[in-house]
Amino acid sequence: MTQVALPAWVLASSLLPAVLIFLLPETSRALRTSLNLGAATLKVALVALMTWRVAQGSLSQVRFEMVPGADFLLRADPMACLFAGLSAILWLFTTIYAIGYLEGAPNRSRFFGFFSLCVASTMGVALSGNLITFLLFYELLTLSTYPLVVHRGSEKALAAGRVYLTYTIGGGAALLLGVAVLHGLVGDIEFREMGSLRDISETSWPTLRVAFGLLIAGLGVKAALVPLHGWLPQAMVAPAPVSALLHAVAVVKAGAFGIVRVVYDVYGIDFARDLQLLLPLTIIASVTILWGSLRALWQDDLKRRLAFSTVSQVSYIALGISLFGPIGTVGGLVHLLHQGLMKVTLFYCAGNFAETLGVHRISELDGAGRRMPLTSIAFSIGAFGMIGVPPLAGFVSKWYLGLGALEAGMPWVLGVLVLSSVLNAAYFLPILHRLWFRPQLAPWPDERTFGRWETSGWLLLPPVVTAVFTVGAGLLANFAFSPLQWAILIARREYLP
Amino acid sequence: MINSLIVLAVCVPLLALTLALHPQARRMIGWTLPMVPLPALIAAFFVTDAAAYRFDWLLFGGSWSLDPTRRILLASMAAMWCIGGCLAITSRSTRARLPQLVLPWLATLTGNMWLAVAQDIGGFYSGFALMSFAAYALVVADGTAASRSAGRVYLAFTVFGEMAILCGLLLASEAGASTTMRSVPDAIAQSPHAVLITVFLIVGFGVKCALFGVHMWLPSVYSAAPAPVRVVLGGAMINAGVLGWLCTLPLGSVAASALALPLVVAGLVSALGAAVIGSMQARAATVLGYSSISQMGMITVLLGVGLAAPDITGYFVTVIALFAAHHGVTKGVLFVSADVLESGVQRAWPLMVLPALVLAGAPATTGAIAKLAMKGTLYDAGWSWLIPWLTAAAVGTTLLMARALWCAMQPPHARDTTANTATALTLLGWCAVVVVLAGPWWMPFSDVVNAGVTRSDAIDLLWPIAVGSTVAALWWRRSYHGWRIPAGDLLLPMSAIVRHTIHLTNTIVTRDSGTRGNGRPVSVSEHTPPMKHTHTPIISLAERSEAWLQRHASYVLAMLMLLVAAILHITSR
Repeated sequence: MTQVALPAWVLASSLLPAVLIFLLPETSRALRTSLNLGAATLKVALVALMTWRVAQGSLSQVRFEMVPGADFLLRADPMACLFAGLSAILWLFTTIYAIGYLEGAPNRSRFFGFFSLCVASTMGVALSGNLITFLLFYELLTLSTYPLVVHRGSEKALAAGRVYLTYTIGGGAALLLGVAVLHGLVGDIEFREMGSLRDISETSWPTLRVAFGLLIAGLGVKAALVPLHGWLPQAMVAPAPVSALLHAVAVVKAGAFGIVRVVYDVYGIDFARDLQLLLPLTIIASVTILWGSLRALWQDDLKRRLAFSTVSQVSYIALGISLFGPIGTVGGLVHLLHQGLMKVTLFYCAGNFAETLGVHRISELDGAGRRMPLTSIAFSIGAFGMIGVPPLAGFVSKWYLGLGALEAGMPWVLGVLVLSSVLNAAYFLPILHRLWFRPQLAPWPDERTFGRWETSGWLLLPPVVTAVFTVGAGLLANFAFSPLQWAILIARREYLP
Repeated sequence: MINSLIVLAVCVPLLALTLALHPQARRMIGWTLPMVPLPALIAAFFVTDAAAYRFDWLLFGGSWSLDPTRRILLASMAAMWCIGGCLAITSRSTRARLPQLVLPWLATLTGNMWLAVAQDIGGFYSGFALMSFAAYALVVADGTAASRSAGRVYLAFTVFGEMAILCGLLLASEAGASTTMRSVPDAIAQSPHAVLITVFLIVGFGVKCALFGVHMWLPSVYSAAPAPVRVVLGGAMINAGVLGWLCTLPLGSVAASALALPLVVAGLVSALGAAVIGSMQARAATVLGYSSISQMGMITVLLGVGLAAPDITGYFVTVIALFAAHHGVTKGVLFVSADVLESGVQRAWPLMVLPALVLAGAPATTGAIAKLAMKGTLYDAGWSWLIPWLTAAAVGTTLLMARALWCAMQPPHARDTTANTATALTLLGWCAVVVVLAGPWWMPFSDVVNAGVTRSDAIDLLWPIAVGSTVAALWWRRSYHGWRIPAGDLLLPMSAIVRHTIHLTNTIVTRDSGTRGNGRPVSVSEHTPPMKHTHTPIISLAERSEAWLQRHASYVLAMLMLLVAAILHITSR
């Protein structure tokens, strides 16, 4: 395995299993499980190796010409490692979770096939080295996620799937248009630290602004920026592992990551500021943060509340990106990882409550803490992290975002952060109160018992581990290779030539 | 070697917390609650100032050490956690529920100890947050409706305080480009936004210290919480707020001197107002809670003076710290004594009278020394006009103590203490009282006030007590049944205002949505498919607009694209 091929290997480690799993018969459960887990573990190892090499300073890439003037380019740079690392780790745990979750359910081959394909596209999104390749994988992600959203095949699921497709294909069209505009202007655009559009003559600046708007609108659909967020709360009818995938591992993250790439590696943060593109993005992100939190406040369905919470929290990333200055950048990038860890924990736990107790509504959760202590502890850690209570991961993000806002001379953003934290507290703390301090009033709607542990071990391990990560990412923020340190490394390269 | 106690002070509670996660170990760990704070207690006395531990990997770089201020406060906090732990395993209110209390107790303790030693902003704020949020579980430990509503109020104020602290620390950290607590006061002093940052920090930490205006949570929480929790709330955690003030405020620089007078006035209002309202209360715990508000008012006064005085020294800060430590220990013990009396051991009234005298400032007690030191500093700083006011507050303190004693002596509704536990409780009460009476020896007062109490000092100290007792005797002889201000005073009008605002907004939105005249709220189902849980018109408006967006997603997207293109094209000309 040569160094050059490493990004290709990372991509292949989920593309090949996807193909193999589609070919497997439905009944060969053991083989499918070991294939899934083996591939996920291998990918974590490969991404770790890749990250290590990038930290050492070597950038490896795979490039060939698709059509004249448009290269297929995969490249391992620090930004790619950030997203690939998150997805690889969370994919491993989501796979474990999905195996437990779908125990005995029909159509598992199809599910896991698209599941792997979805992660393969995410890896492609992470590793893309230019806009064309990014677009390719971004669309592939849309297509591979749709079967997962409608997996249950119910009327509701199909309706949610329709909404999902309308939004994402519309967004894809906007993105395509934006890419086409840029391509017409300057040809193939590679992602480059500090951006690659700087040298364009001033006469083309209006076109660049238009293209930026189109790109952000296209990416904003997946990143669930208001008013393009409507699909996300609908999509919560999907099974819990898919929700985890949508909210934390792949889809909304791909949108947010795309915004990161466009702002930093296509336009360049300096140039984006000169074009006066950052302030509108800050405002949209702020509105989204507050709107999502407000809407979350009134949801009784646990997953729906979490979905609106995602709308709000993912925009922290866009907010950090739009704050000019390295500290804001660190805040946004680190939240890309932190939000993933925390939200995936919360969705695992919501799935556990649903699978073990049959509880879907917050008002039914009374006393669940006693019945499922580990799940509830993990949920509490995720919720406190979301509020931004120190020393958890969310606090680190919020601290850097706040400092970044002050550094960028936008103290009003601090107000947005504070208000959002208060709203987060207002919609998470009542859930925790129900879990821990209310007595159980009625029998659980649909309880299943699993022997020694409070729920199936497959379902219990992932949230516990990600909750530990949530604590670790905050408490050990200064540790080498912590999310924060990696984000600082990237920010340094984006601002210092 | 002994210096490693700083680390143990935090890690022993943390270790106990981790062990207690296992259900079988929890009961056993429960019995060790009085021992867990011991490393911190020993550390407060024996660890040198030079001892510093750096943990570069912790948060944004952890740094743990002690200084004179922290040492004094840590000693009093740790002592109160020990005594509170003893009470937790003997008191009727918690003994049976001990296993449920263990986890939040240890989490709160860990947070308290962490903030006491952390010299880095991240660590201090983390400890503070851990302590504040974990304490919620202690407040609602009774599981009654009263404790639940007190818990809600506590949580609301806590979140508010945390946010104010976050803003203050962020602004200070940005101004000083540093993450150490030590850099905060200087950073504030040199920042152009000194006043704003100071306001955030005063209010944020003030929530914990029941500063006037954000004090409303305290009386109801104290009366709803179980007795051992009162001991640590009123004896230890309240001083975490004082520590926050002392570590962060720009005392001795005049950068925020505009706030001095408002703060002094707020302090006086607290000191006197709480005495008046407190003496109308019917439960010992509530009265003692108001006494805390009153005492913290005096500290607020000193703090205000510190913001205006240009050249105050470490001495000034030490006086405040000692005052806070004295109050914490005395108040904590008063809660123990009140619990002993209320569980039916009424002949043990000296248990309450002795610490009450200490708090009122009787000679030869920590109260007297703290009061004299406070007076001295006010003279030195040129604010001697405040002294009569504080003397009036001392009369109020006596009044409150008399009221608390009277309330605690009322016959209990049900005697549920066996002879055995009554003996244990009384014994604990006496031990605690000895701790308070011995205060002048174990608290480092001799560093502050060397001279003994002169005769004129003694008279100055004694007459407010005499006046207070006389007033109390006259007032309650004809047992007072008149007009009362309920516990929580401003809380009731405040929540009424919030309720009415919500109601009013709803009415306005309803009118906007098309029903004029009859005021009937628009039902969502008239316009859109019925959605669950639409409580108020505002929410239904949000639901409707989002549903509309969803139905027309494709048009919206197309329009948006055109709009973006148009706007950007026009603005870029």
